[in-house]
Amino acid sequence: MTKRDRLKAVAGVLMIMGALALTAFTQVSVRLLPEKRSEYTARSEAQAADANMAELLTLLNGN
Amino acid sequence: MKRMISLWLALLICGGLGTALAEGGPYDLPISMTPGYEPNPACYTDMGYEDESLSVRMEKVRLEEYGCTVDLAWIKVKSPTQLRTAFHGNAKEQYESEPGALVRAYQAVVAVNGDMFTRRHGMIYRMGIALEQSQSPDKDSLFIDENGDFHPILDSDPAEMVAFLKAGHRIVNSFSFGPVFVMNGEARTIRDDYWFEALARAPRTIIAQVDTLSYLFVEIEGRSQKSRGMTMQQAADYMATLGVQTAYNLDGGNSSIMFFHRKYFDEHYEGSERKTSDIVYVCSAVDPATWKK
Repeated sequence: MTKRDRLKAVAGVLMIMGALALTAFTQVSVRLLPEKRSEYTARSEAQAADANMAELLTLLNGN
Repeated sequence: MKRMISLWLALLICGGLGTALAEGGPYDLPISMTPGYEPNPACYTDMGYEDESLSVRMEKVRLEEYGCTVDLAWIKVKSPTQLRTAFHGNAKEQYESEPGALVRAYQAVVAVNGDMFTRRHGMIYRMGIALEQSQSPDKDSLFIDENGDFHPILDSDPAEMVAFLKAGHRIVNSFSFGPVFVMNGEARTIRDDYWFEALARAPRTIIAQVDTLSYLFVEIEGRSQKSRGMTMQQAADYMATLGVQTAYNLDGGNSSIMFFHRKYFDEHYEGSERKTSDIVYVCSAVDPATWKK
């Protein structure tokens, strides 16, 4: 086996692993991310509300 | 060009004058915990009050379809400062006691119970005084501004409150109970789990804005053989039939009460008042010195 053949083999293995990783990521995205996304959205909304509340109190009371 | 400049200057002066009058009109009362002027006894009728500054028409309606008796006070004021609130205590400390005592002390012509703010959280102002500044996303808020206009804030959204202030308004009175029953003249759909007895047939107290400086106080009587009360959705649908722009629910149940001419306008009797923290009322802005001569 030449050096070039070994490089080809390694590249092939890496491609297969990449494909598997991509598939796994897609599955996780489809199944788990919506929950994470809603959590994230809720957290973002809460943070936005807090920020708005802070701005509101500043407007009402000054610094 | 000179004409244009003259016209522009004239408009500017007229605008400035208009604003000045609005801020210091002849019927304006202080935005503070001071009472209204003593109403002129000669201006009362059995079902109303009429002086230069205030017009009140009382109405008692039987709604057979709801099995309810409803008390209505149709109000027109000359100054937004005549729509007022009062509470037991002071800016630092508040307590609960008979609402009738507030009615008499503050010279109210018509009054209803408020939101019982001593038991609530939220953005709570009374006559320009901040009594509490906290979040209450489970409730709708109502802001009343310097012009006496109602601003319903759904879910007490702080962003909406910021927008209100950035539009140049001032919170004169604000309530934390709700829900908003009517918005832009349309009945709202009230969610079944609104935080306080949405589905129960209960007494309700509602304040509404009909038009500029024109208001309606409503008490839906309930928990009696004569009157069953309404669910929140029934109350919202009913309020929309009255032609109001905005209607907001205040504390209900045993707290619901309406006074006219210092007496109960509803089925209350002496000694039956629930102790509450506050009232919403309207008063005369005519100086008694003018009619006591």
